[in-house]
Amino acid sequence: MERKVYVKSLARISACHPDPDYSGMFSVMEARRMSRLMKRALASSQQALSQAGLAVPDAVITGTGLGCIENTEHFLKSLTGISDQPLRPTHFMQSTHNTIGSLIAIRLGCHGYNATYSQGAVSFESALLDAFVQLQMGLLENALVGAFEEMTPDFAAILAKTGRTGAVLPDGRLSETAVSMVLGTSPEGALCELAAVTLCSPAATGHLTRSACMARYGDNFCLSALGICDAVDLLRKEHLEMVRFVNDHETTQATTELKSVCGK
Amino acid sequence: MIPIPITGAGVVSAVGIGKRQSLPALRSGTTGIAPVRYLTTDDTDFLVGEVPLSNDAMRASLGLPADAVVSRTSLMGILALQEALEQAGLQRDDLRETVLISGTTVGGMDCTERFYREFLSDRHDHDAYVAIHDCGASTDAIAAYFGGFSFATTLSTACSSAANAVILGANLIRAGRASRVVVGGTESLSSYHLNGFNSLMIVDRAPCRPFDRTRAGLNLGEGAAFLVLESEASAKARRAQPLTWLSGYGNACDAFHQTASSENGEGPYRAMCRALELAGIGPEKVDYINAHGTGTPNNDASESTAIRRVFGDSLPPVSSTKPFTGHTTSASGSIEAVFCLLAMEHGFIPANLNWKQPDEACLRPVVSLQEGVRLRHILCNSFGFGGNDSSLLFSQIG
Repeated sequence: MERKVYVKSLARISACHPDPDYSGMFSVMEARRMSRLMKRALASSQQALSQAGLAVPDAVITGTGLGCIENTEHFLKSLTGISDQPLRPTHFMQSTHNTIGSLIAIRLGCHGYNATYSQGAVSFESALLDAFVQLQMGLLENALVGAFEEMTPDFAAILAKTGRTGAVLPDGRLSETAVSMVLGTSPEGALCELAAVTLCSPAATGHLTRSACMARYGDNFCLSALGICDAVDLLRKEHLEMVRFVNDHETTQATTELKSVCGK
Repeated sequence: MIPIPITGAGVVSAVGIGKRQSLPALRSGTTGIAPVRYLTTDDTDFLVGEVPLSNDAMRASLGLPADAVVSRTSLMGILALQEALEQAGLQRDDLRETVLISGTTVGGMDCTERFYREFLSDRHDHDAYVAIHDCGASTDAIAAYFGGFSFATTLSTACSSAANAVILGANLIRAGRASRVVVGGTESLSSYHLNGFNSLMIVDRAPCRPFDRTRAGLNLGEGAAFLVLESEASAKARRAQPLTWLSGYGNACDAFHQTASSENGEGPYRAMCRALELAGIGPEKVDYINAHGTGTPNNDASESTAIRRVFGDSLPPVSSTKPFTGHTTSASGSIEAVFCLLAMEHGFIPANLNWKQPDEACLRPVVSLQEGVRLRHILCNSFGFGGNDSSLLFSQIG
């Protein structure tokens, strides 16, 4: 018997959701060593876990398209001689995609299942699918699922050369994502049910689409995570029975279905 | 869990293209580690385990145009996948019901590091390479070569990426979400991670010596390997003959440090225990462990402690095959899985090359080839930066 899966809480930072006050969250040493993306990942994870009343999750599963691109650029610039800075091991070890998920686990002392997905525009849905399947099977009771994407002026310029201009918003800010979500198998206090996650589904009609989210958030590989959060908002605000989010990215598609837990 | 049939396997590494070239190398103790030949890097002093083919040679053998925009990571992945599909007897039409799950961290970095200066300039000659930088794009290129996979996704958990791809695939089959998956990983050498590992002072310029008292680091390698996993029903319906079975797996996080392993090997310990628990067998049933055994002082001591915690005083034979291939990072989990399959099929245990001096902190590995052994259960370890630790258990059923 498959278990039902619920969205217990969510926290986000985006063009429309400002950064929290990080002072007091990290020691001076930590703050100096951590990139903006890592601070966001830790802060949003902590917020989602607190809202769900959970100290340590059974699993930490994250998605990121480019990973820690800022540290990657630092290391690349030293490597190619663009900068005269020597190669710094910190930049290298904090440039792998899984450094975010592992840092969350270290911070929480979480020895459970830990995985990171990097599959372009469906990186988040890949992470969501992994969590969804394991929760349904009863391998996990709960999971912290995240989507983390940062952008730099240099990488935005590189993308713009190839015709991808969505990385910069009309007001000049960069399009970035930090989303943390707690999923669980118990309905108490849930925001909604996560009813289905399908990768590369035949074009379904959605209440919300990835392309429609671009106007608000700009374009980045983890944009769909912000779209799915908006879908949760829509379901609850409009008292809908079901909301379907369609990731209509040109190369990879996915569908996520959310169902109301109220009034049944 | 109900064991999952493995019906195909393909591999490329420094010891050869395909299982046919890998098997005699593993048996004769012939290493593939040598000075840099194909990688573009300023520092050619390093010993590396390169796949013995240039990108042009791989493009040609795959029938791709000489100017095809494709990373070495994808090229090696295609070669390994081709062998796995052929052995499983899967045609293009069969792929519609097949999910592709790959593991990589380097992705298109070997191209990005070559063209990065140009990317930042006004020149446009190599702009097409921007789109193949990310990990997912390297998997998409592999999927596009064969066409028709139901979907593709990519794990990126550093050196355990391929093992975690196997785990997701197994979960999708067990949950009934897929009847068939092709799982594994691919990773080319890049100057980026060669210099990165070197900046962490864990690269040895001499041949690596896992578990030896004088071990001083790893040699980097590259390669790709994929396994075809399918449900019992799918294998039966196609009359596909299982090579062996995936009977257990475990994924745990050391949650200790971003690059170092904990002294007590908590992550590896939990991963191995979970794999045995899922399979429902005791540690005494394990006939061989293919260790992660990178040759770094820290990994080998931590892994030895974890293995001793699981197996107590009666350790099964253990060896690391990294002295053959170098540390193939994201691909190591699937490359070594294919080596385990070969060991099981042909009844041998590959030697842990270059080991001479015992270390109190480490277990004693198998130092010479063992032939004529029956291996019913093999545990295969992959541990990554960030403490992303995974263990796979392969079993001969019946």
